[in-house]
Amino acid sequence: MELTDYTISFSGKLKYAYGVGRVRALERRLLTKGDFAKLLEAKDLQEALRALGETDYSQAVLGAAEGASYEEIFRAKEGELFSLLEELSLDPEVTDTLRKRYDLHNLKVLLKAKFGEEDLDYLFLPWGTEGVDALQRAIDEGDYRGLPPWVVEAIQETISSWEESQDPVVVDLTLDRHLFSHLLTVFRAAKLDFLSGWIQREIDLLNLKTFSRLRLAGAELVELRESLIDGGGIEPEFYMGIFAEPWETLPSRFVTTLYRRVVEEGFSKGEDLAPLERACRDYILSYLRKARYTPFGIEPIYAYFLIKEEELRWVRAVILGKENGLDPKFIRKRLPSDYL
Amino acid sequence: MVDPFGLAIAIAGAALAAFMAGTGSAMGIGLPGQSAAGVLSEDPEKFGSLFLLVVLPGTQGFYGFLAAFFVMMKVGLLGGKLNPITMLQGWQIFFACAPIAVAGFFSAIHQGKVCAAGVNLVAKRPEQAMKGVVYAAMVETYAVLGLLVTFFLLNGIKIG
Amino acid sequence: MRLAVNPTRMELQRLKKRLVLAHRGHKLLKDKQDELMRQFMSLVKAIRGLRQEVEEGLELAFRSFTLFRSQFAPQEAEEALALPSKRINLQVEERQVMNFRVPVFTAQISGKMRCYGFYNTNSDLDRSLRGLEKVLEKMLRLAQEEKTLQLLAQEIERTRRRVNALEYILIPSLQETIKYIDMKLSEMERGNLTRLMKIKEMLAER
Repeated sequence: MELTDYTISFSGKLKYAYGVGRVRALERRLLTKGDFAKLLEAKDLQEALRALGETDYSQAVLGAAEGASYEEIFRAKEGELFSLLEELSLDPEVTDTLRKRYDLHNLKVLLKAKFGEEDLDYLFLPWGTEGVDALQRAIDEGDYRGLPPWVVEAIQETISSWEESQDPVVVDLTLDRHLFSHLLTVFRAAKLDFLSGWIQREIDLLNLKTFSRLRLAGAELVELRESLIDGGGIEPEFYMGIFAEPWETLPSRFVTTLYRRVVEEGFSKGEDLAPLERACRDYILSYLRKARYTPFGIEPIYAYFLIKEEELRWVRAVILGKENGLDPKFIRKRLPSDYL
Repeated sequence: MVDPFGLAIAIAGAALAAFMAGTGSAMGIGLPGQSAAGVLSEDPEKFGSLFLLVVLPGTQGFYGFLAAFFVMMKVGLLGGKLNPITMLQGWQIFFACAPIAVAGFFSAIHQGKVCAAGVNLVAKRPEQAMKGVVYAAMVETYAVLGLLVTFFLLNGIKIG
Repeated sequence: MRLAVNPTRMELQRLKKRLVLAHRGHKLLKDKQDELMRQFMSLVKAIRGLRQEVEEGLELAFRSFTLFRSQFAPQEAEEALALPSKRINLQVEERQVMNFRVPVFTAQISGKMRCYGFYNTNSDLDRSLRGLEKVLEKMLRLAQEEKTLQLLAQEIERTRRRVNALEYILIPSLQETIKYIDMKLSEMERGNLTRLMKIKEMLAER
């Protein structure tokens, strides 16, 4: 490590001192197990919303107009989160990766609307980096000006593979693959090992879940090959090799990988995959939490954002469960252990 | 043999001590200062417990100033009557200033990092503030040692 | 209730024939009603099991779907299913059973159920769709049989009304009319007899 890089230069990791300090203070306001317990135990939607109003979500709850849907609360909170990111980020090309998920979503909406000849405009989400109009133009007229290369490639490949297969699954898979390889490229280029490690683990765990879901559905090996995503720490061939093995012997196959615990916990309930999905989330959350030991750099900010996003997802799940009169035990079974 | 350059070299030593230690301190305060501003923007009540962590890297600059002051006294820049300084004495003073200059510069920056981490610690667990200060104080030790060495060396140089 | 007829011997004869016919019809309809009832009951029993299965299956599928939906933004959840690949072609034909028509559904199901990738969807959605797929054929059968049941019930109702009409209106009024004509005729006979006796008396006096 060069001296200038490490000691004196404030343009590297040290420029995030302000942001990290701010995020540290914000981390104290993440919802606790107690907050989630209160939400889960609420008798009805009103009581749950009131409980939510006493947490970090108070502004969003108050801001939502009287009688407005609770979806507005989440929208407001997401907006808050993204504007914080905008404020703290000094490397937009890195923090923009947090928005790519929404570009992917909008792309899927546009392409599915085109293929299914339906109007799906009401499904757009506003947090992407690319304008929906630009994406629309690219898809309808082949006018790719101003779009990043990975989006152009993703669109072209998806259209051609749809024409070949007429299979909506292929649309999703092609686009997902492009997103993950794009993220990996960005993090590797920026030499952010923590974040490349994160995305690698995401790919591995996604593959693990795909593997299990396809097994449960009794799919063919070919389908598995098409569905696995490259770039993770575990090669797709590994999953192909153990696809036919019985559930009981699977945990022993993962002993040497990073995911021994995940697989042990996840396959304990046999054919129910909810424990596996929860174990995967627990794994990712505990990986992200390691960013707390990093005093400088963009990682703590990035990790905070992801953790908050996960929290938002589960608050939404609890509230929606309340609205639909779902027994809280079902949500509880899926909630990451951090919140239980 | 009095040499006009002797005095210049001695002054260079004093300047170096003040300049490097001061720069280090400025950088060192800058870092926890930013962190603290981040924390305070979410949690203004923490100002008191963060204050010590932010000012701690400032001591090195002060040590540099002390060393420079001592040199000034030694060469008589303050009393109005200059002591005759030989070339050799000039160099002696110059090198005597080096410990606090270099140790001050680096220890201040690193102390700044420790303090910034301490600020993060306080953001998370306000009751642990003193532990952060203790770690920062450990970096301080070496700046103090640097100052002591400079002080004894300067004391040992005989002039006139 | 007496029918408005002339109390003649001819009429009496006719009414008696009608009464016999009505009795026979009543018996036949009664038999039909019993048979329909029997069929109805056995169908109800069969459907109850099927209905329960379908309801349980649907409940499971809907619960899984609600769980899936609650873990994603509504737009994301809907996007996952925006381009379905399963096609169901439903044809309805009619078949004659006893003397009424029952519908017969034939469904052509093509394509696979899963129409989404694995990122941003979860096993709850898988399970929901698998549950729906399993329950789909049962649902079609249930719809068909419940429609049959409904038609059967209508038919039973209609038959019952006819039986009742025969039993409580037509037959009693026929009987009453017959009785009335009978009485009227015998009264006329008695009147005749008295008149004849009177004439005979008058002739004897002379």
